[in-house]
Amino acid sequence: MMLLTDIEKHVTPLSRTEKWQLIKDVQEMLMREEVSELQHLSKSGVTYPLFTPVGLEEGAVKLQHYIQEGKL
Amino acid sequence: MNTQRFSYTPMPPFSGGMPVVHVELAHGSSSLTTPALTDSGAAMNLLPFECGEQLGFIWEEQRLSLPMGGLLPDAKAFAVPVTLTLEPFPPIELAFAWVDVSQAKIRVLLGQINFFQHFKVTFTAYEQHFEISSRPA
Repeated sequence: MMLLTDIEKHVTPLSRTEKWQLIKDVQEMLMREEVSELQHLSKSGVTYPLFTPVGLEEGAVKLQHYIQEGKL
Repeated sequence: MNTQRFSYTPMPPFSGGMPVVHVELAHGSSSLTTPALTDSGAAMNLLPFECGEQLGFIWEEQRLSLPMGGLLPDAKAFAVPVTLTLEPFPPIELAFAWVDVSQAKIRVLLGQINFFQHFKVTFTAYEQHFEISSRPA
């Protein structure tokens, strides 16, 4: 197994372009691993319910006002 | 601070569990026991329509309307006061958004306004448990 310090020795001499390309490649590698992990947690073709309704912030502000105004 | 540990509840087909607690909700002389999701992503507490009816609320008499958006754009909601009991904590009065959406579509949610203003919740999903503490006096 290569240590991070060993990797750094190999990366340092690379050109800027090659370093940016390396970052891009590693980023894509990470994305593939994340997607793979998500796919592992779920099954294809199965419906998964959404638990948290989005967009309730405006209502929450109004609810907070009702509480503060002692209307509840 | 009083702290209680709870286990995640399995919810197939989802491979992980969900942080669900069993609570008693009460209003006047009516009460019900129901599972409720401690949902840090929910902006407010939600009460499905049937639960509100069981607690004796009358839809036509409600005046404190709440705007709903996002995934519930056509839903109507009113603010209602509900006494929540979550053992081993003492009962506490919370504000819920009572929505005209069936419990078949939406569960009881304990959200930021105002469950999370009264309780500290620490999720440890990778160990499938979470802890709830009452807010210090």
